[in-house]
Amino acid sequence: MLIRTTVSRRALLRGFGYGAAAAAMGPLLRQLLGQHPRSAYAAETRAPPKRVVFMVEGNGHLPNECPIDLLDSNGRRPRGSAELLNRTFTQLPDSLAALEDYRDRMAIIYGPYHGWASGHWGLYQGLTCLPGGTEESPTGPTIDRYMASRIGIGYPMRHLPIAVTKDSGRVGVTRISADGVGKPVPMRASVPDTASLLFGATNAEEVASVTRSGYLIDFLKDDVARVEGLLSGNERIRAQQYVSTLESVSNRVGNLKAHRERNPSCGRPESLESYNLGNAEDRMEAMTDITAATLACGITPVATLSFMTGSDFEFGYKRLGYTIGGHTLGHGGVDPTMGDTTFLRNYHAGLVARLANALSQYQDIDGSTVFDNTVIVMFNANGSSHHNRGWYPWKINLIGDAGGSLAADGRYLRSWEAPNRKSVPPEGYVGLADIWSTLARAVGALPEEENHWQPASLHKPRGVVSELLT
Amino acid sequence: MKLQPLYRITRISPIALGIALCGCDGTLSDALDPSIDGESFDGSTSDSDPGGADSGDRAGAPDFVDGDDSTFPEFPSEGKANNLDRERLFECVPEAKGGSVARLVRLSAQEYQRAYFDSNRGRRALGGRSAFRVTDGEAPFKTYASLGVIDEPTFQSLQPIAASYAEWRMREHRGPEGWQAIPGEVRSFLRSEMGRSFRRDIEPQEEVPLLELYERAREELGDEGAVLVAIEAIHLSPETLFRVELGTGLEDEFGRRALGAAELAEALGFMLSTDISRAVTTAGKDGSILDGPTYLELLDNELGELGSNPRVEQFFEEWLDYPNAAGLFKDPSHISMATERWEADGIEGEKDGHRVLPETQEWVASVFTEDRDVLRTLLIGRVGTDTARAGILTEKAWLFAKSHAEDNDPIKRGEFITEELLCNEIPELPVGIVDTVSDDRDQTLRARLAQHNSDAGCYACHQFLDGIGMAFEQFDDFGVYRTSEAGEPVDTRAELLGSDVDGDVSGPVELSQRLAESDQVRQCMVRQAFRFYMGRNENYADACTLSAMDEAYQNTGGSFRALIRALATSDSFRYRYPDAETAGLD
Repeated sequence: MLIRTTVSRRALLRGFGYGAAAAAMGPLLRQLLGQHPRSAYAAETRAPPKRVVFMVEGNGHLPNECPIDLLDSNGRRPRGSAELLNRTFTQLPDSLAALEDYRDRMAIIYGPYHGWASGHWGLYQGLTCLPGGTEESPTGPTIDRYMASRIGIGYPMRHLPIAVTKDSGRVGVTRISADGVGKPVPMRASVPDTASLLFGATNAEEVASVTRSGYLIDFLKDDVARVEGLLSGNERIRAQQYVSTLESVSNRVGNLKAHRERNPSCGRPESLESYNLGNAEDRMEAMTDITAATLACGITPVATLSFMTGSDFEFGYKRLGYTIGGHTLGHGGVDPTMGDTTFLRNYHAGLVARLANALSQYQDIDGSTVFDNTVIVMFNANGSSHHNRGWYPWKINLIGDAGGSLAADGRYLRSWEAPNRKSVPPEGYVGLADIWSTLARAVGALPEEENHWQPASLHKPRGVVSELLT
Repeated sequence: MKLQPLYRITRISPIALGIALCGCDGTLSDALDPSIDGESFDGSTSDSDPGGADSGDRAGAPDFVDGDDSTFPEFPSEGKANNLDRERLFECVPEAKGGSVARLVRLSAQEYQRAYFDSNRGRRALGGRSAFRVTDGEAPFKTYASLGVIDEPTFQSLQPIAASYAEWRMREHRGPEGWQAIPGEVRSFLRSEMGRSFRRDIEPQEEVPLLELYERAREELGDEGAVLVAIEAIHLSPETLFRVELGTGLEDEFGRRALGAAELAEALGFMLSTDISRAVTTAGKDGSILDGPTYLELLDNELGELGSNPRVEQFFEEWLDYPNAAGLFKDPSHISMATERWEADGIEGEKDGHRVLPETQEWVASVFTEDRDVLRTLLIGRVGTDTARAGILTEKAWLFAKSHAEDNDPIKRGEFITEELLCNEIPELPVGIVDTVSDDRDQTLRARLAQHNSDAGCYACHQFLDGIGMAFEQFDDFGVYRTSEAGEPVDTRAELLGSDVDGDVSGPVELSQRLAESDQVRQCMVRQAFRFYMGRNENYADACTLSAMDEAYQNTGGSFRALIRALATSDSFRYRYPDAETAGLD
């Protein structure tokens, strides 16, 4: 057991922390990380590994409220330009109220340009910084996978991709993460299956399922190889593709099993037993708990939580009493009995707080907490709109400073904002790709000699944004 | 992974060559810079050490093998068949010995879904679970074999379905006392499952690996668990998920092997439908499908009335793309204008593109049901409409489908004519090109595009795009006839380029008439049908097949049925080469 859910979910969602449990858990994490291959790196550099979590929402939420103390007397946000507006804030907007405990460890970046983005469900554009993309065919790799490929080496999994969609039992492709052109990343949508994979089976049914899966994969490898032997050229490659899929599945299961054997106390969060997984809210909270345990256990340093995004978002917040489906919500529909949707956005902020609280429980190898070495990236997969039009501004909330690398100290950065969709950005503007480059630098995924993570981005991007680094 | 091209391209059509250097402000060269090549960049993320050189400074060598959620290993697309030379493609020379390379053809999502869901059995077994993801990918048609992969997203979706199906099958066979392993029963049960799933008779030796799996698993999982594993294995076997077209028949003097009876039955069945009829299955099992007259009889029966043949409908829908009207997103404020205009035109119904689609669907179905001069009728045979309209290119559904969220899209319309009706190739838009067309609604779209096209580099491509597509400015983006735009009379002049009927046209009707007279358009339809029904690009070895299809179509007064018959009886359809080298394609 790693996470003690001694504080009620309601309290957590209000932004309360886990309390004094953190200190007691410290040695465990040190033990876990001490046995992990990354510990050699950590020992050399005398720094704990850095982690990054992308908490992506979509669905028409409009998280563009400005910190209250930065509004002018008419309630307008300060304007940006090619030169970044760089201010600090003290009052979060209502939509982020649940993050009040982390206000001084946040940065809000408003308006980075992503003029290419368009489409109905984001279509990978938020994390690729590339134009185009279709339902099944992204146009390039996404920043989360890029980071995972750089800092995830040596972990049992480089990256944990998770989704909460309307179908609780399905592996979803939510059009968020991609490995490259035409390579969408499957997102894990089943809470029990994900927990079983990461932390091991805990009941007879799960154990039997895992055992059967082992026999199945072994058999299929031989079966596909038999067919492969009958083919040549590209057709043979297609059969090999199935083999490599089976090997990937098999390797991942093996890696995680080996990791568990080395770290027997690294179990699944107890809180998982208390959820009603028929509710989307419960699944989001359960997946948040799983993510916290996964990071703390050293299973992966990069996670993407895709909540109510993609084409499978047509479901409501039933537990919160908001029954309007996601699509209607995205088109501005409101439940007349529920008022505006600020509380829903604050609910998502509460999930971020929940994750930050959980990570704050664990002491890292240098005495800091895991959260101290993490940055949580909260943003809307479609910019600030349900149907991104390209010229709408994007907004990214950063929670945590990734080991002091980021200027997440109540910082508000605002860049040039395109007045219409045909606007061409001025020289030196800050684009979304630049923000991702900066994060990549902060977590050690972008070496000093490189300035931009996305070489295919030809919009003369500025590269690493120094104002966001310490 | 770099792979050899599947087909050797020795001649490039003039249009492809002529516009190969288009691009605004020299950005094409930037886009082609190998240092920013998308493939190599992607490759670095999927290698076992994706950090590349950078990972060298990470002490602590990884002791875990790559077990990340890998997705799509590199697989080559077939490239663009539009680049091939038309004359040579239709020149049946003795050395053109048609045949596909032995291949795997994964069941389409549609076929898979039909097998498992379109029956009460399947629905009960799967409890409404979704079928596996459709990988549309970059291919002209959803029938392309190259799209059919078992990548990790697909496998992760399929495995629970297979498990669910296995549990359902077990429940069906489990008596009140639970599963009872009766000697011999397991064997016959699994044999039956294999036959059903592989869609063919099972040889005794084929059962052996599966029975071995059962025996191994039984020690740990017990009888019931072992049978569950075996059923899952059957339903995830490549022989379930793919049609395996090796060519198990006789080999000829050119190194080709004919499809065996079972293979031919599957190929024919799935060519003409999304499911295989009992008659075809039986003929595949008893071998009678290899008899010429029987084959032709099956072919005609399976084709049936073209108006009710699902594949014929699918072909025209995918090729002409009018169903996209139902999927196109328009801003809510903008679509309300459509509603007003459509209602003024007397069209009631849905609030979006669904409203105008049924009319076009019905009309297109009537054209291929009639099966007479199909292409010409589609282009200019719309009887009973006003004189401003001619055929498919002036249908509201097509015009709506080829528009964008708030405006007409002459670029998309011209692109359709160039690539889908003339089978010419236009290079991809270089990455990073900024669309700088003015958003000033006080100007006509032609005027706004003229500013854009004043750049010679841009116009090198755009002459084949909006240069043609401007003819459709007679209609707004809802497909409604109009006489003015931005206070100016509409200007529908355009120039058809890259065809055998080039020249100025005054508007959409004349453009449609010109295209209806074109040999190039007719042969392009033949090529498109070949691609759809074969699930691959055409190549020069298919020249005799293509010319036979073309001749059959012309000799029968434009019968699409005759065209399909010619394909289904061709060498390209019935023979398989063991490899690309033997086929002369390497």
